[in-house]
Amino acid sequence: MGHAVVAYNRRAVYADGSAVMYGKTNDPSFRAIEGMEDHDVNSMFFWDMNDKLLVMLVNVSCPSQEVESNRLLSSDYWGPTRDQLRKKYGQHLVVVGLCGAAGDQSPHLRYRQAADDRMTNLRKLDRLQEIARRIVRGVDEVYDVVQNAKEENVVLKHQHAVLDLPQRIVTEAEYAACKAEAERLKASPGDGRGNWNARVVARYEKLKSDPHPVLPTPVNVLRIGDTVLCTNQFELYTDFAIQIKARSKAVQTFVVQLANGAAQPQPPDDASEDDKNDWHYASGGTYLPSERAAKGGGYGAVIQSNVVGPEGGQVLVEKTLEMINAMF
Amino acid sequence: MNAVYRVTLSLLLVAVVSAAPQAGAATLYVGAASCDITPDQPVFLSGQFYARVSKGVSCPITANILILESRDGDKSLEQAIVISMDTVVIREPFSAVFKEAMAKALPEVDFNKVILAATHTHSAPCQTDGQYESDDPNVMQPSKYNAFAAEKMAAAAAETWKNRRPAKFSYGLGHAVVAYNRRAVYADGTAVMYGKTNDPNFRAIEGMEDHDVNSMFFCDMDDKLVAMLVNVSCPSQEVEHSDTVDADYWGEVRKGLHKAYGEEVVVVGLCGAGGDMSPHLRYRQAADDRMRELRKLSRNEEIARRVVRGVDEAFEVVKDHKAADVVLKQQSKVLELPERIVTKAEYESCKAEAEKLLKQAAETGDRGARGKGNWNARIAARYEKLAENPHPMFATQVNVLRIGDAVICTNAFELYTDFGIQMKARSKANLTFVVQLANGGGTYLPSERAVKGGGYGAVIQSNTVGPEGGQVLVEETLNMINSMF
Repeated sequence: MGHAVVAYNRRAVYADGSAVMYGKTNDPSFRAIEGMEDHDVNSMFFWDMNDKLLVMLVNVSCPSQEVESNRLLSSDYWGPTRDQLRKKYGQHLVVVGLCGAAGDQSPHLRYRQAADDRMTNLRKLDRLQEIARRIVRGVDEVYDVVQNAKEENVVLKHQHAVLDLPQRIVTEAEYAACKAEAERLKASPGDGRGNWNARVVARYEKLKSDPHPVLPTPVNVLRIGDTVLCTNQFELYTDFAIQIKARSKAVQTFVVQLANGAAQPQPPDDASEDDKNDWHYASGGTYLPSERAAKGGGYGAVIQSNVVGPEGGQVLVEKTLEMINAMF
Repeated sequence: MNAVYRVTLSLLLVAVVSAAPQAGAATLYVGAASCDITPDQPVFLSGQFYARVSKGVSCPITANILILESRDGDKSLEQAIVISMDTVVIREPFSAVFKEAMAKALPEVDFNKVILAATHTHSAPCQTDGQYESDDPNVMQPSKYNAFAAEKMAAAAAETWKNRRPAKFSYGLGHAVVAYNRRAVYADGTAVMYGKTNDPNFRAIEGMEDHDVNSMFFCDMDDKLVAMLVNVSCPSQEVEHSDTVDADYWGEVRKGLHKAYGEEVVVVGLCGAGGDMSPHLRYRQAADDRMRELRKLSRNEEIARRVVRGVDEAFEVVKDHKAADVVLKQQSKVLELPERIVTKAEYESCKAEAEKLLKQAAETGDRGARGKGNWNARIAARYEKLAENPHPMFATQVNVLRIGDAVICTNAFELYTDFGIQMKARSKANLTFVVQLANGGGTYLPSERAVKGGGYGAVIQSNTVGPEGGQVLVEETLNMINSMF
């Protein structure tokens, strides 16, 4: 385990208790960053029997979206990270970059930006290169230590389960607000927020026939030696992963979000358009907010952003921990 | 260990003259010294409710002094003395003695220009007579220790002042994962300092951790590094239950930096806002311990390794961007902060607890019970005073020191990180060093969410000033900072 300050919690909390994703932190009403940042860099290294490093798996709890607004295809910060790691450890090296739980994180600087930018400029780097520099340092500090502590005879176990998580229930007030917003946006058919709201309306209406809907979701747990890697399909808020890390029996726990998509490969052929629409929306994993985030609101924690809410998140934590701890 | 070693920026006079700036420009003058303040006999170690008498020295404690002056020719424009002291808190009995010692040793510097900050080691001498008791006649009493340390520090400051020389300055931002938020939040909404995180009811860490390492570097005119000021938002209390005198992690940080940059470099370690932080691991401890054991380091050595890396990454970049002609401005104010108001329920609870504990202490001689009894009794007294003064204010000193595009702002509290982040986010300085536990013996100053969660550090017994006063501190400090840019 190494460290790199890459993830910044993107949810600002204000004096009235509300939270805003990417809300201004230099606003006089700004009071706090909503939650933790996880600055661990978890790494696994794999060598051949001649001690040649072949692969490294690097787990950073921050989505790769620093250049999210440009119009060029980009692997974002993982691109320069892979380049820098290959430059250092060999061009043959395969770098498997995995995103830790970070629904509330992003690589965008959230405060004291001038100081950070000054350092980046003095280094003559761009932001992606600067992020890569930090991750590489986080990997280096581990590699320096563990390169002489390799193991050959390691336990390898893999479990897969489909968990049924309770969905976040749409309230009547949310239904009314989303319905009004969806109606309003009908005048702007190109605006994706119309469907974003309409799905919530449809969810509410389905509650009559199914008042306790669940989302089937795949979870994989892979034990490698004393470490474990556990996956989920969501943009999972950091609070949940810290619970998993804190209660896992593994020496080191790699939480990996946005993995394996939906439990079902495709929506049923005979599904209604609404159902297909829901399936496609939920298949990639939506934000799964913490309880405090749901209270604070804001994009990423409002009903439109979530199929599963804090209750389902807690079930995900407990079931994942059962799977992990059964392996040790 | 040398009693005092000085860094005199030992330039030949001719070199000083040749390096002097052109007339009219402000010149930065710097001096730095490290002063050993380790007692040579047993002392009460301060930081816990219970008494500990030291059984030796495991890591010497020091005061590290940085002298700054900007001058226009012979005219002094601004002065500042920044001292990092290995102690838990700057208590009034020490402060008073030190002020007197400084007035004698260095009368030309206004004491308001002195920033005296505690590293928060819990293994340094107590400064308050009567706080602890022991039957051991060899224990050095706090007032005697205060006189010893104050005299040495004042003498070192005066000597360093005499030897200040033109210097260059730079600063930078690095990172180190050292501070861990020590407040665990549970399913019922309660928070507990050092609460278990492997409990099934554990839900979250209460707030942010600030992993910035802010550094300032001071070099002589030959580009030799003479002092660095390092700001880490984590109290120095990894070995807080030690029965030996120990500088805690700052001792190892100084060793690490001396090894990398030279024994003569003075390291002024300043604790950032970290009332809700500690260096104790809070979760995934097995992974952290494994790495440390593979490195064959103690916890304090591991912390030092991280801080040194954080300083290194900044120094590598900014060492070629020094300036000799930097703005130096300092303001010192005494702010009146609204105190946290004791509620009737808190009063009743604390009164009952005080009576129970003080009775127990009287019957059994249990000194811990007496300490906690008094802790509660003070709340009962505060409540009773509200009848005559329903809006009590707490007077507290704040210093703001601008050096170039960076700024240091101080407060006397164990200030929760949320407040430090507000200051950093709204400051006009390029880099803002928030320094807690400076120039006074402040108590925990909790965030609003911490008060809601409760627990040690956020309950009324732990706080003189609450979130309302904390917000005033933020706003007033920002007013001071932003008026300087």
